[in-house]
Amino acid sequence: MFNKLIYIAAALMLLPIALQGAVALEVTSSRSSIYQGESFNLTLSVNGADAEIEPPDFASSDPAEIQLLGSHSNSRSSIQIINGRMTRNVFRGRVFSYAIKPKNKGSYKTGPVIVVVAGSPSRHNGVEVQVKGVEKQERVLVTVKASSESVLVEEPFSITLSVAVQELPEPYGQSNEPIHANNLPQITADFLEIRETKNTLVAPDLNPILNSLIDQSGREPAFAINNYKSRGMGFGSFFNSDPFEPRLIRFRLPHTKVEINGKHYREYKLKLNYTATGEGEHTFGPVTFKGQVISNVTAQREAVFEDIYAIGGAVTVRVTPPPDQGRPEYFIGSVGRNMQATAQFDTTLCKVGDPLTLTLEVTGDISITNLRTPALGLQPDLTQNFRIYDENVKTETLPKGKRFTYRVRPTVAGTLEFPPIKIAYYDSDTRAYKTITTAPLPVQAEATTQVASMEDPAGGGVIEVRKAIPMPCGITLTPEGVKTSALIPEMKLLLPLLLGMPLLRLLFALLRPLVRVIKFLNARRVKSGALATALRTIRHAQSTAELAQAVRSYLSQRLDATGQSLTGSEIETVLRNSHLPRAECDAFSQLIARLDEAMYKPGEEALRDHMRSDCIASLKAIDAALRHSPPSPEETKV
Amino acid sequence: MKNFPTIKLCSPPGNAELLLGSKRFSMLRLAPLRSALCTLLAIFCTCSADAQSDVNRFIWDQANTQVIHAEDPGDYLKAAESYHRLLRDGVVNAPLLNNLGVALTMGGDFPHARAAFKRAELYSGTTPEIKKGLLAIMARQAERAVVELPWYRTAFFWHYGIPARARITIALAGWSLLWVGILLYRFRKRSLAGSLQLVLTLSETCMMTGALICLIFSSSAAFTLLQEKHSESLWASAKFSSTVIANAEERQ
Repeated sequence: MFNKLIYIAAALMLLPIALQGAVALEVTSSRSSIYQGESFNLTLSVNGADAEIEPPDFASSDPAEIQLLGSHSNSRSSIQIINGRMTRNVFRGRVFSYAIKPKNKGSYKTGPVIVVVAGSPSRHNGVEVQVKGVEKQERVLVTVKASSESVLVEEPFSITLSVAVQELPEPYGQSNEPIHANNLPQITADFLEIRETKNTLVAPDLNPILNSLIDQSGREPAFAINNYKSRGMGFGSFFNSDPFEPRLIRFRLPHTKVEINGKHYREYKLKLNYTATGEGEHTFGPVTFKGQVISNVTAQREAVFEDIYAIGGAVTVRVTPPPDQGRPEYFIGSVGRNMQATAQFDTTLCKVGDPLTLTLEVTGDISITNLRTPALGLQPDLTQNFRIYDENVKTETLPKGKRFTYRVRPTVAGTLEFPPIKIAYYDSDTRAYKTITTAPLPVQAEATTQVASMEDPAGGGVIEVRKAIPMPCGITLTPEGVKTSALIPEMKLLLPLLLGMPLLRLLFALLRPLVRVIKFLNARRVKSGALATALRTIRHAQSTAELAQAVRSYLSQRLDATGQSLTGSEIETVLRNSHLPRAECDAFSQLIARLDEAMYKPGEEALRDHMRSDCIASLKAIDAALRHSPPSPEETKV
Repeated sequence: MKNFPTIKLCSPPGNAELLLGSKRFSMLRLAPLRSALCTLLAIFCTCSADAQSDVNRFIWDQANTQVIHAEDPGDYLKAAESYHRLLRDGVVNAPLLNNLGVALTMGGDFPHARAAFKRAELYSGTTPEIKKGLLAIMARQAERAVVELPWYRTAFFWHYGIPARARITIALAGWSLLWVGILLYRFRKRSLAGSLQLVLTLSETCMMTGALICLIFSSSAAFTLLQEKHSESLWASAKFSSTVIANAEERQ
């Protein structure tokens, strides 16, 4: 009994292991029904294994052209840390994609599908797809083409709808289109419907595109697309039908002449540009064409119409992740170009165990929707001296990227370097993975107060609180560290402060003596030039009055006598005060008296020349005498 | 325009004109040569200055990286050597000396670390980083967790707290204020009776305040300049040694 219980317990313990190792298959089809000649995409997910998978076996499927589009890993892992206990969840999986083109109409069955993983086969019954038959004709060829059937996230692609209608026989085909303006063929396509775009597909704005195609004249060969109808009334509607009934809008598609399989066609095209923002599959089509085309012209030049029903096969565009080959461990799912990453801490000074906020910004021309949070805890360099809490990351979306905010704690004391964070993305230009790194971040972590137990001889444990020895601050990384500073201020500041005010004081002190000296020099200049001035005036004098004035001016300038109209006696007094010999004084006084008299005598002109020479002689004599006379008290004072 | 005479010799006319021709003409000929020489000289000076600057920047980055990656006192002393190389090359500033002080403190060369922090203080005044560095040195030397800076640092706060450059400027401002007072004193006789007292008071206040500021700050600045002169000679021949490493070796 006891042994049985042991076996049951052992079996129960081994059951999860056995279940964990089991492989499950999942098969999905991109479409549930197709037209004959079209293909659909089949996705086969192998859950539970990512390696040692042999190519899936479709041998039991109905006859069809099966083409492997590719396979990619679907494995992912996550880490949880709860109360310091780390749990890592790993999921292994691989996805295979096939394009299948059934050969026969009716119900097409894809299964059973058999996949052999590590020697053990797994089976799935497969899916059923309805294949509808279409009558074959070559008058109208409808196709939907994608610029690329496999694109990356955020990689633009285009879908082109083409309706090729066989040309009219010559000579009508040269100048006539094979569609009549009054008989609008109907084109029906799901992707031409104006509606909300899917989450992972950025579709073009159909409204302006279709508006630009509307045939305003109403006379051009055109198409009706889906069920687009006009609400207003047209002039022609009064004569043709109920004027209030909405009418189909006429879309004039751009057309070119082409040759297909040796026959001439008129090809009408509509090209739409899309961008996928997430991984997945997008099916465009099928497109149906229903209506009349001109197939021939009678001898009476009348058009012969033919009813055509044609279907253009759908096209599926797969938005795949970047290739598995060469995928770095630090790949964050984003595709694009010029990715940049910057990291910074909220502080560079902390204590061991302090929570720090690490902000990581990832920007560039990259896809944002599939940009995953970088798991920094998986980078061993980063966790050497720091504990990173990956599970509580705050994410913000930036205009061209994302910002992640982590909680980080330093685990050791000292000047630490938070190593560069590695981030990888898939470069859409070079079609290769690129790994970028952030700059290392310096952090100064101080030791915290340590609590240590101290053994006591008596046996009782005593708790001693020991304070850590203070640490110096962290180093400064400023570029100012290579510039030379001076202790003394610049000379342009130093000199004005040192000499400005003393010089101003000196200027004030010297102001009065300077003025005095200037006055003295001025007086001296006037005195020394008095004789020359007087002689010049005398030589040019036209009357005796001018002669007398010149002589008096000389005296006033030379002897500092005030006034220009001195009398004879006043002049004599001034001359005597100048300590001149008496003879010169008397002679000069007489000369002045004679000049005064001559002014009132008749025949002044005759006297003038005689008096002029007397004046010159007398002034020279007086000046010579004055030069030898002792200086006046005023002069000695200066 | 004045025409300068030209002397014609038997030698080639170009040379004759260049050497003995008109002054203006020869100056015109020499002008391009002179400007080219000046340009070359300027380029040489700029290039050499730039090259030196690049070298210094490299050493600075290298020293910072060494500190960041340092794990033991020996590593820190190596970083200090790099900083010291910059110092020997003539680069002196507060961040450099502060980093040198940090590296030496962590390396265990406390006397030089203290000198570095004190010299940094001359350039930037007491900053929290310098204060913390000095406390860390004192704590390590005293082997105590709690230490305080000496009392005189608080008493003479202006000497330690204000950068030398600012102290010199303040001393000169005091000097100018003193002279403003002297200038105002000259006008005491000319002032009107009512404002005589005011002028006297203002003059005396300016003179006394200016003299006091000038005295305090110029003495402080003079002391600093003497310290700096002494520091220059000290750092020129500095050899770093770690007391931490020496103690560990002794214990072994």
